[in-house]
Amino acid sequence: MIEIKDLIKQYPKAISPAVNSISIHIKEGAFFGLFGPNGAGKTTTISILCGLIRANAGSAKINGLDVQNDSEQLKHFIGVVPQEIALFPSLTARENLRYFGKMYGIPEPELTQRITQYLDMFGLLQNANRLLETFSGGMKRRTNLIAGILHHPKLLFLDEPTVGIDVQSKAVINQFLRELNQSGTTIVYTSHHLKEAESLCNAIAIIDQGKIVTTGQPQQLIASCEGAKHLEDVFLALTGEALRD
Amino acid sequence: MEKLIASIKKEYLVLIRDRAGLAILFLMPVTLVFIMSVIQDAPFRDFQEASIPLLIINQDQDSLGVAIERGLRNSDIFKLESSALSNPTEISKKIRDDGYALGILIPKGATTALRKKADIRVSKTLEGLGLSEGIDEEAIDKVNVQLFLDPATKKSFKSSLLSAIRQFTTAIENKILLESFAKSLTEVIPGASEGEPLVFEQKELIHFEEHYTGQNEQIISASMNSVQHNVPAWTMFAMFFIVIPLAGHMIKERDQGSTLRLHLMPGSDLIVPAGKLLLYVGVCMLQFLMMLLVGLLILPSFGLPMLVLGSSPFALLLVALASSFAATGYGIMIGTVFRTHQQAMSFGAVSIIILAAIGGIWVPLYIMPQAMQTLGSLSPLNWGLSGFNDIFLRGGGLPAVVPEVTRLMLFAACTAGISWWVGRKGLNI
Repeated sequence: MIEIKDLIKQYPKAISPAVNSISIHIKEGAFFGLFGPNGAGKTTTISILCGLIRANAGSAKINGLDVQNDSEQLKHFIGVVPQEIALFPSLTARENLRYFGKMYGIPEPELTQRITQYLDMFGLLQNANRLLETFSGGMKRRTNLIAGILHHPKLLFLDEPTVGIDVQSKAVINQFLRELNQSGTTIVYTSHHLKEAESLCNAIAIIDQGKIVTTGQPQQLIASCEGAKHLEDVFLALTGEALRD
Repeated sequence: MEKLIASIKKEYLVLIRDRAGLAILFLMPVTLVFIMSVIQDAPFRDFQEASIPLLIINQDQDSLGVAIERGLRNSDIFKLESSALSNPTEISKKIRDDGYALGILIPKGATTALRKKADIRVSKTLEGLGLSEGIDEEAIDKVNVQLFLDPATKKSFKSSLLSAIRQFTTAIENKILLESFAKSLTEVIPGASEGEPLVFEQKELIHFEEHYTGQNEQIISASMNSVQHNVPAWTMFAMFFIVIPLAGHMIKERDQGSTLRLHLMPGSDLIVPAGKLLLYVGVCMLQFLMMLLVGLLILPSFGLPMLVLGSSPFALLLVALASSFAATGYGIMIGTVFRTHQQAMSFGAVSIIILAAIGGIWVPLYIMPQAMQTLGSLSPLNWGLSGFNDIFLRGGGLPAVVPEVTRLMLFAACTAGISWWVGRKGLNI
């Protein structure tokens, strides 16, 4: 599904590359976790895959399409749930979703059906006509997720989808993502919650200082790391305990 | 098309829920146009309409005094008040203390002295022809009409006042001179006293005909006044002030990440800005309509002149549309180029105020120094204002506004081009 080869991204005026010759292969249907300390290059990698920024060297292909040259075609089957609540606070939840659905070209009455279905699924139907600025953090995160999946993408990028929300909201989101992945959607996920990732992901890569330091299945990586009981132990063993920012 | 409609609808919902933005767009311009029209009403009026307070001391009460007083009263320039004071110091004090711009003292016997002077002039003329014996003019007192001026009176204003007063005195001077001449001729021409009295016709020999240099002289109906200036001027200001809500929303959306989400959607790169452009052009047109209604209905109900629209609604619509595109393009450019809300708001507001000041929004460009007039002609606000004036004051139609419309549309295209380039390159300041 995703083939990244020797990808390099150097930001102007930066001392070292944000992404330094990384290569990753992500299979179709995978729930792939990309982990690393702050500033490791996770968001840059996802931004390149989404076609938001251009790499300096190397290649990245999704379903055989080049992310830089064929980005317009790729946009149709990529979904992105950014870390920020990328919605309009002065619109209601329903108005936000309707707008993004229209921008994806989802026809009526399918759009209305999908919006109602997802709002109900995420426990937001009662509050669908409230302005987003009046929502709690968890409600905003759930709406943010719906906006990223409304067009039924084949590949979904999630950047810290559960940051700063309560346990209940987190459980609902994680359960939904599991089901979505089981239904065939490939998910690429970044998070600092490694325990959560351990239960969700079937393949991971750990990135540090722009380089991939390891890749494989979570349980295999835990087993291969001496004294490690959880993914967090593997992470610290590979990236060290020094502060990064 | 559906995406564009969705985009316009989204912009509409965001704007309609922004009360501060709506106040800036609609309440502020109405308040400004009202206040400025009222404040500038008196300075804008021709001094013929301004009722300048004038103190008159008419001790003469004969032809000269009566003619001057009547002339001043009929001219509508002055608001006349009579006084019985005679001491020049007391007159000066009264003018100073009671706020008169001018005082005029016509001394007792002024008409008699004038008649005697006229008789002497006529007599001297006839003496040259051997028809009369000359009289020594020095023996007659001078006719001294005294003027008292407030030192604060502007030089140009003072010369206008003196010129108006001189016009009335010259008329009566000529009348008395001709009467004296007729009387003397009757006396010296044998047998003339037996027939009809000799009368000189005193009609004006020169007649002035006014022509206006507008596009269509037949339809000139408006002259510059505070309403004709302020309504189009503050309409332009209001249109360009959309930079505040427009750029504000754009930066907020960028900060919140929704702009990033839109970048990830197929075919949205042009549709989203197009939606903004169309919605805000619509807002500008609504502002334009609202300001016209203020000029047509509200300002006249406060005793101000009614806005005169000219005779070319199509040209008017075109200037309004071109101004709307220019203003919206500028707003989008500010929202794209600046990184933070504070930078965009500060630069946006200050730049509009500067462009308005140099563009003749506060005071008309023609009363500014030449250098400022040249600078002002570079302001897009001035192009729009000039276009409106072409229609309202000069009776212009479509051909008259083509230069302004072209400049405004080019400005809109340039700002849109800069926004697109900065957006593509991510070159926010």
